[in-house]
Amino acid sequence: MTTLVFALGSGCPGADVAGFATEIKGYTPGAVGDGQCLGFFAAGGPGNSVAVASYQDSTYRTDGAGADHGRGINCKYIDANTVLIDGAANHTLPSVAASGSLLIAVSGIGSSVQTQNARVYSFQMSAASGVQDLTAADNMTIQMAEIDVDTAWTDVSSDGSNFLTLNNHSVAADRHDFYVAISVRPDSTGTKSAWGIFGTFEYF
Amino acid sequence: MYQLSFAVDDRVPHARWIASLSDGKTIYENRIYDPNLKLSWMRLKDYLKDSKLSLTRLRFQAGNKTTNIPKADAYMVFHKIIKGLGPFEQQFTCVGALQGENLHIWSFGPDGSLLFEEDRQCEKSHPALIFITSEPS
Repeated sequence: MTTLVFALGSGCPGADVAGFATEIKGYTPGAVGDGQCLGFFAAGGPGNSVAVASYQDSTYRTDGAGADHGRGINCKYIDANTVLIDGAANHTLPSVAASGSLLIAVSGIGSSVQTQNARVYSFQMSAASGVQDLTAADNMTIQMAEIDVDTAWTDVSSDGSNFLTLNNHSVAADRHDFYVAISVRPDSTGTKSAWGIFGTFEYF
Repeated sequence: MYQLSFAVDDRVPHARWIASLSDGKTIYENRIYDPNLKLSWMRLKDYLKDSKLSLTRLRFQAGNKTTNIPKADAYMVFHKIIKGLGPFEQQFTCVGALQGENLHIWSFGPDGSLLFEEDRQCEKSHPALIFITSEPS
């Protein structure tokens, strides 16, 4: 069955892009499970909070309690056109010499297709939020860029009016991979666990 | 090579598009799991071109409910997925009718219910468009 798969990008410890070994299955509010979430932390990883008004220095696959389920590639927003990869070197977008924070794959199609109008949004999770009723993540700034495509970050922290547009794939295939850099900044104190991202993809 | 369904068979899904052709035949959407094969809409486009036939009518059917897609310059079918890092996923079959440069889209859920409609601009060169008479020059 055709579905979207979210996983850590290739090149990070434990990543198996072909088999989605580091799939991030999605957070169910109140649940604590195995590798359900993407977590952003200060240097040192889980348990180390990002300072207010600063971007994260580490990215992990986590569970609902923030535990370590695998380190990802950290893509830190430096300025509108620059990303810092794993604290090692600044790169000018779009060429960052890494696969990004997140792999989003259209998989299980079972046919050879092209894609169009692929988008990634952020939103605040609550009982009332949904695809047609989006609210912006509370006190968060969320930047995204498609690796090897975008020359600048896109601020997607909004009520759905701002989103990351992914490149159309005009070469037909039965699987399409998109690598996305994600950098987040808390704009107030406190754990930010009730926000999420989702993608919309069209294929023919 | 086209592997089209000229009648409802075990490859035809419950919710499906139905195309009427200029030779009087009817084609039903089908789903064949073959990573090297195009979706049936794109195979229909290839078949029409190679057979020098045209599309005369398009419908979307689920159970005993049939939606007639209004007359248009061209038609398009594509699929849409919405999925998040959260507990939701939605899938749609989208049927578009092009008039001028406006594509009106009906989005149907897996049970065939019409979930929403939208309009968007569309270039006539879009690879998934099938024109009613002939391709624009």
